[in-house]
Amino acid sequence: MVKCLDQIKIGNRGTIQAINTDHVTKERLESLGLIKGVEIEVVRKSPLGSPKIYRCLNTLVALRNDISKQIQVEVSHE
Amino acid sequence: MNKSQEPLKVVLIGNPNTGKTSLLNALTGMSLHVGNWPGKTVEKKEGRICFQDQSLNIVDLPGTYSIAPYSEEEKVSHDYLMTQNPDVIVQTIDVNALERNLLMTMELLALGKKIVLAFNFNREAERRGIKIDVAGIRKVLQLPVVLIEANKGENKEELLKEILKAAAGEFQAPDYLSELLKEDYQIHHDESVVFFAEKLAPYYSTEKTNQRTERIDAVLLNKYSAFPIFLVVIFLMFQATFTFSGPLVSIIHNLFGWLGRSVNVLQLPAFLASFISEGVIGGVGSVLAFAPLIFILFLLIALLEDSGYLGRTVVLVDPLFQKLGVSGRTFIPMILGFGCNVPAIMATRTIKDRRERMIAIFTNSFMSCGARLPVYLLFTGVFFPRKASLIVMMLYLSGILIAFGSSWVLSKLIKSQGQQALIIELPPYRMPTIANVIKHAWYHTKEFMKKAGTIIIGSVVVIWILASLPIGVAYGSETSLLGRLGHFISPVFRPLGFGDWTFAVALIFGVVAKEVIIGTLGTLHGAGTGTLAAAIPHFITPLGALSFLFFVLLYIPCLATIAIIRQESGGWKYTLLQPLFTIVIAWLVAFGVFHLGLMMGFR
Repeated sequence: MVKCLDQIKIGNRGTIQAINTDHVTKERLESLGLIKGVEIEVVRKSPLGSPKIYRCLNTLVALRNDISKQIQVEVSHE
Repeated sequence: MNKSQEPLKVVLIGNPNTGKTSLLNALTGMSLHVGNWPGKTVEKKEGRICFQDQSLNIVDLPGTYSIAPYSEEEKVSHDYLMTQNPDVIVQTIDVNALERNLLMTMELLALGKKIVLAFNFNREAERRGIKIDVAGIRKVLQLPVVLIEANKGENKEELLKEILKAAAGEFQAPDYLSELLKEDYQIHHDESVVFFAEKLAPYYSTEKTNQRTERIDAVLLNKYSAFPIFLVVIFLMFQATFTFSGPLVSIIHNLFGWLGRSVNVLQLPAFLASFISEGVIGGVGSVLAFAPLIFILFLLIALLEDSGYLGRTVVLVDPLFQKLGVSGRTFIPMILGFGCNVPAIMATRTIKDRRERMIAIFTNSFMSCGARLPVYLLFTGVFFPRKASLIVMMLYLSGILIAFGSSWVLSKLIKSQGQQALIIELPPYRMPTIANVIKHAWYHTKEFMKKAGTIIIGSVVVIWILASLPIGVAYGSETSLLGRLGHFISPVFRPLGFGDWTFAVALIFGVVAKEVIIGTLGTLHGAGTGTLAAAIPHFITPLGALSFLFFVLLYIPCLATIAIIRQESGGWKYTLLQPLFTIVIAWLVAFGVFHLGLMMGFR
């Protein structure tokens, strides 16, 4: 099932299907390891709820929802 | 290759948090030189060493995740690589996130550059149970790989040997590279990742997550404990910076005060003696007095940064700052502004987005620094003894609100490239090394004294000249140039309730340093704070005093702050706009306070 990254629950994983941000943001995300085809895990929420912390290619990355809702992820069954 | 007189141009590059600075320190030792890239606000470090009769010039490029030229840092790296033709590139790689690090390696190969890979944090990887077969990885990548431990300077000889070997050979593109390139020589990120995953799998496994970092985050980013710990850290940082440096600062003040007085012993003509004691010695003293503050602050910032906690603080407060059009990175410099705006503005270096950094620099002086407090205390003590603390608190809060408000306005005015996004890596927690932390602090202190120092001393001398001419007048008195200037501009302050010329002169001196305001008023009204308290109600009403305090809170920052704005913003635009902006705001707010007060029947 394909979902937007901001909709995925803490602790769940999936594979990145598409990044629909503007070009500069996409380049930035990719250089941090958020690349189509890569597995991503939602690690935790920060105490005020935003940003959320994700793990990709062994790197922890914090993103606000305005970015993560533009990333589509195929959720794995766990 | 012949042994040449020309030094080998070696460039150090790497993702942030890969130990690049440690490696640079280990390689260059004391020869390290820190400056800025011409016309940029990005730090440039370089050092020259000699190895096996070959001299090597090592240039450190800013830590970035990519060399696609989007940010200022990336532009610096990209332009350097394109125009300067380095002989060898050394890329530091955190083996714990090998695949991500290798993305930039591909970009570098696409530029046709000779590369040596320095694999770092191997011990950490071993502890975590990550399997690394270097021989296999070397074979797959077809690139020289050296295992280093940058913190301890391990294997740096071997790295240097590989650098010389690479320099002597020709560039050969690995045969896999063409598959990973798009037509425009950009790297296919998705195909690169698939390639690494397939080819490196037999030699590299990353099944395990970083348990130590997980455990620490579970506490430091926990719903209940995160903010209490955060507040304690900020409080300790603030205390340490401004308390530990306190005794050192007063020693420097006293020393220079004594030096200034001892000039009298020389029996020089009064004019010259005053120039040396007030102008030169006073100027140098006011620069040196900042040194302990900046040193300690940067020691602590390096600790926060190297340990990995700095990124977490950004995440913690980000939602609050997102509403102002900036990010959580603004918080720490803002808080430090309560102590002193100079180190606070230097601390904006932790803000990687240039637009956001300029906003933080621009608005920092609204955070009421420690030097303004004595002015508040004297005036509230004289005019509002029962409500002193309430009024002081109101001043601080007004400063914060105005800083927030102007951040919001500026974030609408200054255009950003691309989306205003917060995309931040939270690096693994690591133990900082003392040597790196101290070096970091020392370079920043030195840089401040060199750059901001010249501007500060220069301006102190100018003020001294204005206060002492024409020859023979009492320093800063009514007949001096400065006194006349005060007379000339005082009508501007009449609508604000403090039209007496002495306030205008005190405010001009206040630009040298805010704490001088009281001293100046004291001198002009016949010396001493005791007598000043008695004298001052003859020249100003309580409402005028309140308006004066708001003006002092908001108007032009001190010279040291202006000098640091020049240094950190990399140009005169913000340096000149900031004082203009703040004085307009100060005038409007003081006007509002005074007239609102009049309407409400105060005087």
